[in-house]
Amino acid sequence: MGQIGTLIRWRFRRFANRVGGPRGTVRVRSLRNGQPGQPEEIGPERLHPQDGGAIKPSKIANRDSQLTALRIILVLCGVAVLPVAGFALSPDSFGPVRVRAGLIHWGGWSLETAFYLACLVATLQSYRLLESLFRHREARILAVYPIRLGGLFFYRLGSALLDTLVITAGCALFLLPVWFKGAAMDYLWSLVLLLLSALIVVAVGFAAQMAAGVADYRHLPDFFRQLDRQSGGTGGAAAAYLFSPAIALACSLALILFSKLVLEEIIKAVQPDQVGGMSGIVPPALGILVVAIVGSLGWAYRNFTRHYPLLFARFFEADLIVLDTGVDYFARDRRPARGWEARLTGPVRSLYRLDRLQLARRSPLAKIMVVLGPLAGLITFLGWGRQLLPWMVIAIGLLWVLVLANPWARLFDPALEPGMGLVLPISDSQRRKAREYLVVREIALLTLPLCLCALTLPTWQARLSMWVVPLLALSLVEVLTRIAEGSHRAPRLLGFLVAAFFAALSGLWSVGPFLAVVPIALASILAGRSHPEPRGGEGKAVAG
Amino acid sequence: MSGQGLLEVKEIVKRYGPLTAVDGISLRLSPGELVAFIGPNGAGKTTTYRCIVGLQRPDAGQVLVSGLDMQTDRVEALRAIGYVGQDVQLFQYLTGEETLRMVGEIYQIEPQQLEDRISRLLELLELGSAANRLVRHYSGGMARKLALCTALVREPPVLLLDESFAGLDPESTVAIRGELDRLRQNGSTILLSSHVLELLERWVTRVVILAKGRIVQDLGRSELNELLSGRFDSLTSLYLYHTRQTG
Repeated sequence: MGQIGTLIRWRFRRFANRVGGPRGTVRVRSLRNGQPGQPEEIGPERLHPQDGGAIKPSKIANRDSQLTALRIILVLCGVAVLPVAGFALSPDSFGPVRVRAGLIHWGGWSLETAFYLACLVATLQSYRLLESLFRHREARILAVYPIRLGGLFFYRLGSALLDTLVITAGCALFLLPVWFKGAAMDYLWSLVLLLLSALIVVAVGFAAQMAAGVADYRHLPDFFRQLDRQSGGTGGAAAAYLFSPAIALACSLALILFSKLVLEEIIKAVQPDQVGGMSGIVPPALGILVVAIVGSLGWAYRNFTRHYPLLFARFFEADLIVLDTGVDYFARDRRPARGWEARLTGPVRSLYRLDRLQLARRSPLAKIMVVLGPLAGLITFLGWGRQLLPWMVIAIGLLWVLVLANPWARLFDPALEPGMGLVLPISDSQRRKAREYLVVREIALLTLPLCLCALTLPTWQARLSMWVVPLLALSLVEVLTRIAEGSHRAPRLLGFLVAAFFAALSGLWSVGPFLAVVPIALASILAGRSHPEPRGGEGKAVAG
Repeated sequence: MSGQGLLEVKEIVKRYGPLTAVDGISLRLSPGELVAFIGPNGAGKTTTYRCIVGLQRPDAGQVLVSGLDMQTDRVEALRAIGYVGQDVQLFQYLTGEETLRMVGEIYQIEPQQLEDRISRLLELLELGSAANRLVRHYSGGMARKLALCTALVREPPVLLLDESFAGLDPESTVAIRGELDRLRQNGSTILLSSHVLELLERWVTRVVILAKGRIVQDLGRSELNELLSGRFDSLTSLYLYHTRQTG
């Protein structure tokens, strides 16, 4: 218990430090004439001196406090928004039965919704488990410490379970209105499904990652073995772990569906108007579930304690080689300037290209989505465009901008600040000019595909809403980003301003887009706020 | 160099596809040795370190720490090793002092002893005033010093330092050098890689030169002194001679 206790305690301390900042004082033994003297208490006033210096710890402490306050506000907003969304979206009356496509679903609306929420949690956690087991910096830090593997397994299992339960709690909050609308039992059954799903996701996820690792080095198929040789001894490992989260997800979803069906059988049996009691299939089905969960955990434990260091080493090696399939660096660099870029001259053209390439390479996924998203939208709207409610049209447009453009990440992320460009002998006006060209291009790139989609909508009002609202919103973000340049404090305030603008704008139509947009806006702020100051150079500590 | 060494690396090989990064390296380090492990970029130093601590698995060969096989007795073997890698890995949301306390607890160092060591090291490396600050607010040099402290606080029998002096100020370099000398006198073995050859020239007890994954020269202090007083005027010229020989 000693080492696990230590790991758990320090994990919570890290969390507490993250939320509330460091606390306490330290006793440092002063050295006099090279000899240690009496221990000396260093109080907060010495740890955060006000008399200046290159780095002002007091300033850092203030910034940490501001960020803590911001985090608390955002979490509270998120906690408040979830039940509100549940109230708006759940039906006013509940029943144990829901008939859909001729099939009877015992458990009704709440169990169905809980099932879809559980699937979302499974999707998220299946990938995060892989990260926490092998890639997260905590895994790398602890890999060189003498920690018993049995203890490490339970520590990782506990962490993953806690993580999953926190997300599940958010889902439970969303379903809370079911309770308040008078269907307490329906809510409890949904809760049972969510908790069961959390267990399934963690157990199956652990087993799948271990199975992938073991299969990778013990029973490597010929194809992977060949790939492994060609790619420098890492291809097989990379390939196995590429598939493992998807396999974990597929198995988890199958088991969650199975759990839902079992729960429906139990719900059916406890209905007052049903006679005959529990179906005979329920006990063996429950047995299968227990065996699946316990069996997965047992398998994972066995392989973790036997092979984890080897699996970690293989994964670590695979991670040493990074192939960015989305970028053909050299071909791109040599490509002659085209269109707008060709008309620019001198340093403006160079800076424009620098920003354009940085933006394009930062997220290959976004680049693909610019094409795939509108295409999917086009197909969907052609089929169901007439059935879309006005607020849905607005919400889709805004979500498009929020997710793809992620304005908050842009406001905070210093990656777009060309550090190299700033030290080149280029005037501010030229630098600004290059940026303005890029902004216009970006707005056009992100909103024009949406305009094409909007054309498929039935009315002019809907068409304009879908295109003009995001265009205005994104333009505002870009303008604010320019205003905020060079200031460390302004972006945070501007982030709030933009969030407020989105909320107010979407609220003009109805509560629907408001509820759809605000959680995404909050999530974007949380995702984008993590770099309040420019990052350090190469020597800066990387940590988990 | 007879008998069992504290650290024994036997014929380890590590390949990346067609590239052999480590090609049959063997080393035996005895208690009290301070060994410079030098070589050009890409010679295989970091891969060797990683194979020793188990971050990477060698394709062939064996690593023994105090007679314990790193593959079969990993936990016990790691207990005897302190490793500071090239890339500093620290928990961002712990303070400097908390980081050292956590490491001490994992290694189950007696509390009073741990307090003394933490306080002495923080003061020695001038981290005292930053001890209660989160690691994420440390500069690159401070983070490196703290990483060194995480290894030194355990006073391990085997200390592996991969480019650990890079980016440190002269005061800290002198302080760490003193601390390493103290550990060595207490019987610890230190394997140290650095490109600051002037620092190593008069300090280390042995020099191992690596090129293209192989050891091209392994010299004890007396042999090194002999070469430096005759054919070569400095460790740099000796190093350049051997690395150029291997092309």
